[in-house]
Amino acid sequence: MADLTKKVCIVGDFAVGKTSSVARCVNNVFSEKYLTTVGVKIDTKEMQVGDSKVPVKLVIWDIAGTDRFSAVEFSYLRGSSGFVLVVDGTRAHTLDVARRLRAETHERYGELPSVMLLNKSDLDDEWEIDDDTIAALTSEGFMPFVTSAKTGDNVEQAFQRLAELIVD
Amino acid sequence: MNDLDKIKDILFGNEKKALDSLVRRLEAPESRTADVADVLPDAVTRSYNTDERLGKALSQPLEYTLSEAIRREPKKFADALFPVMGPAIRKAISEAIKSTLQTINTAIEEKSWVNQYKAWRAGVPLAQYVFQRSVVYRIDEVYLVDPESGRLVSYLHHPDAGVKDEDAVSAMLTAIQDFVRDSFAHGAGGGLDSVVIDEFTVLISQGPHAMLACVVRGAPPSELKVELNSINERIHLRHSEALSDFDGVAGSIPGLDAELQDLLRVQKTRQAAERPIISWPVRIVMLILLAGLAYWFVNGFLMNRKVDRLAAEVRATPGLLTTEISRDGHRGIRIEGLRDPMAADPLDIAARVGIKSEQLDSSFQSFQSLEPSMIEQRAITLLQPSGNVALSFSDGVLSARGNATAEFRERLLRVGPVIGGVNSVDVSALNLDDAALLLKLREALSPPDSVNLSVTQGIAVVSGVAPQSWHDALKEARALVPEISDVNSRALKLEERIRLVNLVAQLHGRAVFFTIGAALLPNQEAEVSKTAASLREYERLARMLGLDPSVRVIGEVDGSGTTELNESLMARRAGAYRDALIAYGVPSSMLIVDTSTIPPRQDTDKNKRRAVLGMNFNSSREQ
Repeated sequence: MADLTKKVCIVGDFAVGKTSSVARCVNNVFSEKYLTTVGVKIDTKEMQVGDSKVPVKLVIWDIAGTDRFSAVEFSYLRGSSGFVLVVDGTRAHTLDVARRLRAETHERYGELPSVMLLNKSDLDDEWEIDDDTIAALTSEGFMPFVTSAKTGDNVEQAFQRLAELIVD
Repeated sequence: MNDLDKIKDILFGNEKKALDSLVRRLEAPESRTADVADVLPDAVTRSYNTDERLGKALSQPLEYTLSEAIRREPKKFADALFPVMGPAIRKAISEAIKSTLQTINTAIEEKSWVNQYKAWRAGVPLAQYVFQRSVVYRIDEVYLVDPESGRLVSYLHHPDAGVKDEDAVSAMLTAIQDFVRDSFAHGAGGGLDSVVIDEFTVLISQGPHAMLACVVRGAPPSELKVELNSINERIHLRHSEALSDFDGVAGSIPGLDAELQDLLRVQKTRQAAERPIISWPVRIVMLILLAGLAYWFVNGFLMNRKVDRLAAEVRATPGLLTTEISRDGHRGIRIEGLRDPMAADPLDIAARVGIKSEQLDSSFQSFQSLEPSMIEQRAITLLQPSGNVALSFSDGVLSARGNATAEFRERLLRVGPVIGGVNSVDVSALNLDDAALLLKLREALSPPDSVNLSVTQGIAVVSGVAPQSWHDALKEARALVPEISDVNSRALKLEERIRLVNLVAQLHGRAVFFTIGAALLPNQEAEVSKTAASLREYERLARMLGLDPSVRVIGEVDGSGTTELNESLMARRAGAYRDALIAYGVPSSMLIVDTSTIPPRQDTDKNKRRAVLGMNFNSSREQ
């Protein structure tokens, strides 16, 4: 067990690729069945952060997709040290959902560190979010990563960054 | 103010003011109260964190104060405690009932003679023994979880427990807690109390800063939950601040693991795996099935042994040939083959090996066996020998031994050779019986009517009278009839000896008469002739019998005259008679003149003018 354990949540609209994004880089402890039954699936990911290679274990709560949190989803976010917003790059409106979810989270639990995965970068033809929008996200306080759950591009980096933000 | 005071004021004025101020504060209770109130919270906190002295010091005054307050205002305290005590009492009652039911159920289930025996051996009451056996469990894992984030505050596990990712499990347990609480309790306080799946029970104690969960293998008693709550309360009491400030570094709160370690030590001796996993009714059914199966196997095994023994017995029995012997169903036996009528009955053989007649289905065709014992048996059946005769068969020869009638011997010689398998008949050791022997003896000896002949146990017994010639022939009897073991002829008298004795009797004292002198009377010729004939016969018989014939001739006188004269006359008369007998063919050697008799003096009987014969009654001298 790593010395430091931190809880992070993955949130986003339906079918944006939340589970797929983390599937490649985490310890899969429970089956995806939990998502449809309990509404959350938990994985863990051990990594080292910073120059001093501080061992950190992220306990990742993959919360079932929704465009608006109910009481149950909010309860899952309780005690979280950070969260990952996942957006489907081929469905622009999922970005709006992400914006709303972040706002709701901040409203309930304060300013928590977060990163944003603009997922499905492998589907160029269907991509709906232009570069200007992506550039503007930074100014909105987001920390966007263009990722592909299919190829694994940038997913690891996004989690690494989130861990650093949390530990810092 | 004088100069000295002025100097004092210059030198110590400020200190005096401060001293006066301190004195005023010390003398004024309000200011001291304010000072103490200012430092008291920090002082109490520091003392509590440093050691337990303050707590111990305050415990007695607090107890006293509370007791006094409750005594004075009981209703006030009852009202205040009501929201707490109500659920607490209900919970305690509920736990007690559950515990009792569990014990009763277990006792009913396990109140077997086995447990009674074991309880007796252990020297404890049955209820206590069953209870000890019922509370068998082991705590595999202990999670202390931050209920806010689901992060693991502390984690311990049994060395034998299989462990997943404890952080993930901790988080998932929290998620499920939240899910259950939000879904079913509509966000109210509390949460899952326990989760039971298969042999595992997850007992959960909720606290404001920590959720304590134990994964228990086996059947935890209700007391364990109480203990779990107690430990969680103790943890909150001692580590409440550290828990609320938990930074996510598991195991970072000192002393926490030691608190939890107690839980791992709560482990009963009997492992869950040892608990019976099959209920009693199923066991009984299985036992019955096993018993049936065992009976079926044992019975089959015994039946097979009987079949084997029957087969061996039948094989060893002369006159029986089996072509098939096999089990016929579960209880029956089928046997087929050939059977000599003289052979033993297969049913009798089966009975000897413990097979009942109703279990045996036998089918035998008749045949004639040439086994020696069968041939022997067949000969016995056909010839019907008496008890004195033993028949045996070997190497083609039918042998008879013992004593048999002539008729049997004849039948044996006639019938024996035609019995199947008999090449020849041996009667060399077969003796005829007494009747047959007597018959054979009569034929061989032709005894005269005066002879009685009998055979007793092979010995010929001869009595009666027979002539010497037959006596001689009798000596050849054993040669003529070899079956005779001996001849007893002690009671057989010689005919010649009898006649000799009779002759001796007749001749003794036989007299011929003389004249006054030594001349035979003229009428004595016939007597002399007759006596001479008898003497010749006597001589012949004596010689035949091996005797030396001898006759004294004695002269007698009438008594008149002188002795000398008479003696002379007696000698002359004897000589005359002897001469006369010699003249009639009597051998002179056997006639001896006897002059030893003294003549009588007074006797004048003229009938005494005679000569007589004197016979020796032992008749003769052995030659």
